[in-house]
Amino acid sequence: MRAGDQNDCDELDRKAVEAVLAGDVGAFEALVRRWQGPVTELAHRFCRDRARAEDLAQEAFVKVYRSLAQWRGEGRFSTWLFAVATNVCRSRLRRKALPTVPLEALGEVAGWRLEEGDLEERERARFVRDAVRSLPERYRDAVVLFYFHEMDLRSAAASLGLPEGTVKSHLFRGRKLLEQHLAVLLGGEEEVA
Amino acid sequence: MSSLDRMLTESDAPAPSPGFVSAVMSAVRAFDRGPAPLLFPWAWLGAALAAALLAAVSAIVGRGELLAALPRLDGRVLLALAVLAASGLFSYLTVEWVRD
Repeated sequence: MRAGDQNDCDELDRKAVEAVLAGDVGAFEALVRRWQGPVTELAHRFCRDRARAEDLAQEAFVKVYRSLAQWRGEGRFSTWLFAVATNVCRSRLRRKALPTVPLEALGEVAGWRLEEGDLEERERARFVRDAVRSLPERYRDAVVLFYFHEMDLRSAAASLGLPEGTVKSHLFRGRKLLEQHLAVLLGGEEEVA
Repeated sequence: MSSLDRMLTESDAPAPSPGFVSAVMSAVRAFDRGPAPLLFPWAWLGAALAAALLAAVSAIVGRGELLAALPRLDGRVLLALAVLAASGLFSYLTVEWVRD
């Protein structure tokens, strides 16, 4: 998004929030329309399940509505929205985790599929994104948020409510684990620093 | 950008269903129609903490003189009050947990 578009978007968000806080519930719809895609994508990156991602996104929007008065308007509305959505996803996944393949088994599964010769680039990418769910929670969260924010460490840290250094360290370890366990799938081109 | 970065940056998330916005707005309106959230009794908690602090300071500094000056309460009354407070707190937390 260009800087000008971003500023326009921030202004529209701010006006919509003010309208909702003034009692116009319908104004919230504009916020949902504008951010439904990114929030659902964020939830999908956590759970990798379409129906559940929509449930999580809906819950996040309702939570945002409930606590709208807590947004102080100092930063971007989207930064706060993503932080709330991240908290919803993390707490829900903590309560009821989806079944995952153990990280240790991923290399074998990937290796077997690779021998079959049916893994296109897109499928490999999907497999890697699925594998992120098998990471330990703190590494998974850092990886999910870093790539959701298009590799912007500051935004990822803001969404997680953690210092940038901590997120950087979690991200490094998460990537290292992925690279180790998916070496076959990644074709040995990744170097573990 | 490494291939891992590229794969993880790309998104394969499906677009939200057409009814997503209306589902969210229905949930929001249902929330608005629901009962007002219970307020935590911060004032009572504050008063209780202040009293406990006063009693502790009195016991330590004033060697119990202040406590001795307070009217003595029957042990059973204190027990009943404690049970009442605990059950109130438990009910509040249960209702909030169910609402959440």
